[in-house]
Amino acid sequence: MGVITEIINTISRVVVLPTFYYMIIMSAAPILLAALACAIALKANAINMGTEGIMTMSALVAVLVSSSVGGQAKGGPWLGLVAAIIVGAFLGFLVSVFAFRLKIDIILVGIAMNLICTGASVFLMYVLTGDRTTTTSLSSGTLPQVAIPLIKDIPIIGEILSGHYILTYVAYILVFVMSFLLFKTKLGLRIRAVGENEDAAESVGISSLHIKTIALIISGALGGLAGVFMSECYLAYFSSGLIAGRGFVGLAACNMGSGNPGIIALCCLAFGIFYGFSNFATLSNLSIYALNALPYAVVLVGVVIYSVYTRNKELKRLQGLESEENLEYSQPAK
Amino acid sequence: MSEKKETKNVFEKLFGGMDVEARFGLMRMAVAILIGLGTAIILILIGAKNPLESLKYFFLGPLQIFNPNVAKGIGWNYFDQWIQSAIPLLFTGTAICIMFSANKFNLGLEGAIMMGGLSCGWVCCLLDGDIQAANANPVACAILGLLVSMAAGALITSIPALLEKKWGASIMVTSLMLNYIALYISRYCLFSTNLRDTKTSKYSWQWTENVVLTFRKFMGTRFTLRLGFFIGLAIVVIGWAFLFKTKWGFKIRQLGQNPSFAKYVGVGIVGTGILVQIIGGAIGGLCGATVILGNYNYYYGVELTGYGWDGVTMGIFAGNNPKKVLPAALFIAYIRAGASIMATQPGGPINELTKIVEGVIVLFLLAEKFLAKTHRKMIVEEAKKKQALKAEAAKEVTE
Repeated sequence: MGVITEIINTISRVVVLPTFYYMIIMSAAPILLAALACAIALKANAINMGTEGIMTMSALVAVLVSSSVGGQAKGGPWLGLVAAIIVGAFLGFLVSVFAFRLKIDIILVGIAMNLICTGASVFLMYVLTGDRTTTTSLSSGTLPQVAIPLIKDIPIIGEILSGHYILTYVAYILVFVMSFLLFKTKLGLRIRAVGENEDAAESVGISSLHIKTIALIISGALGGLAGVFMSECYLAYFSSGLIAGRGFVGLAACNMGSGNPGIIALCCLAFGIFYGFSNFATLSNLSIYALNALPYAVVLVGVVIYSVYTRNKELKRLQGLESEENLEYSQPAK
Repeated sequence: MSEKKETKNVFEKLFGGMDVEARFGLMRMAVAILIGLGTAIILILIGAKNPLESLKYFFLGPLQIFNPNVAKGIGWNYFDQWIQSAIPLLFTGTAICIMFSANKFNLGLEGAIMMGGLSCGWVCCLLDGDIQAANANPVACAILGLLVSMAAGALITSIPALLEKKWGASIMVTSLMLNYIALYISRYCLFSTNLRDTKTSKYSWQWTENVVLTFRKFMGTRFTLRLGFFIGLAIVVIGWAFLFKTKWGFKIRQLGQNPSFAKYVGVGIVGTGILVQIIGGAIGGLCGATVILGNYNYYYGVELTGYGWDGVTMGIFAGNNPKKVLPAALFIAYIRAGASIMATQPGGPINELTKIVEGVIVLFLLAEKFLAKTHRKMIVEEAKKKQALKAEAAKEVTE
């Protein structure tokens, strides 16, 4: 009983804070980017489990490039961003090469990629900075925060919506871009065609290898963006446990939205609420570990609810089919 | 010329009896391992301050039995380090072999290991007072810890299995999330309950050494004999016998190869699918407990161990056959021990590079199209040889 009142207390204490909503929007952004990365791959019928590794690697590259150029003052973060996107795209390309040209199960490629990337990021960090855990010794800087004109002057809404890092806005804009790309362009149509039925797509002259490779390169680039978000917006440095399963959470969100950007964005915002809570642990008497575990537990429950929903839908459809069949059979008997 | 012929003869003596596929499989494995070791050499050359010294430690380190520092009471013996790092690999490799044989991508082994270690640690802490007062038998306590850990591990991996059975939730995603939940449960228990040692505040209470699964300072200071290694070996053997010599194992492999056929011939596919993951989780829990009991006399799980992912690597190396887990575990453990010995030397690079090496080897081991041309050539050659033999035989008959 005490726990429940404490939970209610915590919620009531946190939901009145505008910074809580600010945190929701911010902490949903990297998951959203990761989920979009998985989504475009999923639409091409490829599960990109390597997103976690790609994020790790590109997060580090962003920091290294940024600091080597000269940090905040010399526009380092922007160069870091570009470098990380290139690295991410290249890693996505590597995944596609191993999965489709050398014919390895793509889930296993993803696992191997995560292994290599986590190893390589720590190795690179140690070789270049002499530190094994973080790059706090480098001054890499962060990407700028954007104050939206007009909106920033509205009392509470301004506090919530304005003043985010630029990549946060990019993440939410990318939802629409991705919808457009997938459902309104030739490339999107081809990606979906290859994802639905590779042989059918091949039969009308689409090279499935080509399309899947493009999808994974875009996926990698998005993973790179997600990585940059973590090391140049969320924090101003890279550390070995920085990504903390966000790539996997993105994969879960993508599965729940079955690759549709709009639904994915909603899922990510829902996860963001619980990531948001874990940032306000000081306001609560609840255990910080319970709050930290919350996002993952919510994803778990979310995945279950989603699969119950799809299963029921499928059952209804089948029942509908059955009754139609019954009609057909019953007619000649009359 | 003659020398060349001789080497060819030796080659044929060794591999002539095998069929083409087996020979090609061996060759591909050798090439993959060579590529991996090549990567390691390049990385060491990049990362080390004195590369030759580091390379020596990396390749020969684990064979040097004595660590000069041990006499001064610092560190582990090198050979010991090799065997020690092989222990968790034996467990997780067998667990993944069994789970992946049924084609169930349950990645919850990490969580199972976490919970196994935690529950075992808890049992040891609880019973420590009784053991010190000689009310309880330390061996019985260790066995109880192992059993509890198996139950805890099985619990963690059975959750995704049941969720999949009941509602069709993606087993991969739910098991990944459970890993993190297990991690935070472990941290919670370690920091917010009376498991925490208030003095060090980092670990659990330390229990008395005699529960520990090692005979420290066996043979003077040369070796630490680890019971965990033998438990691991037993698990490998049992796992192999289970998978290849029992009715259940046959059902599991059938389920993995062709679920529709398995259903058709009357394999209870739902029950078998869940059973596999419970077994895998139990082995995972045992792994966590063995690592804790074998190396420490306190519980310290504040980070994911990574052993679960190692299991996937091992499963790939062993081709889902527990029989091959032992050599695979010894190989990976050798690389790791070598790397960590190298890393402890002044100016040596970081031991994380083994992850890169393992990943590279895994990729090239799995690549179906890798060396495809050579494969074709080998098959053609073999066929030609057979044809020539046939022609010769035909000639003899006509003569």
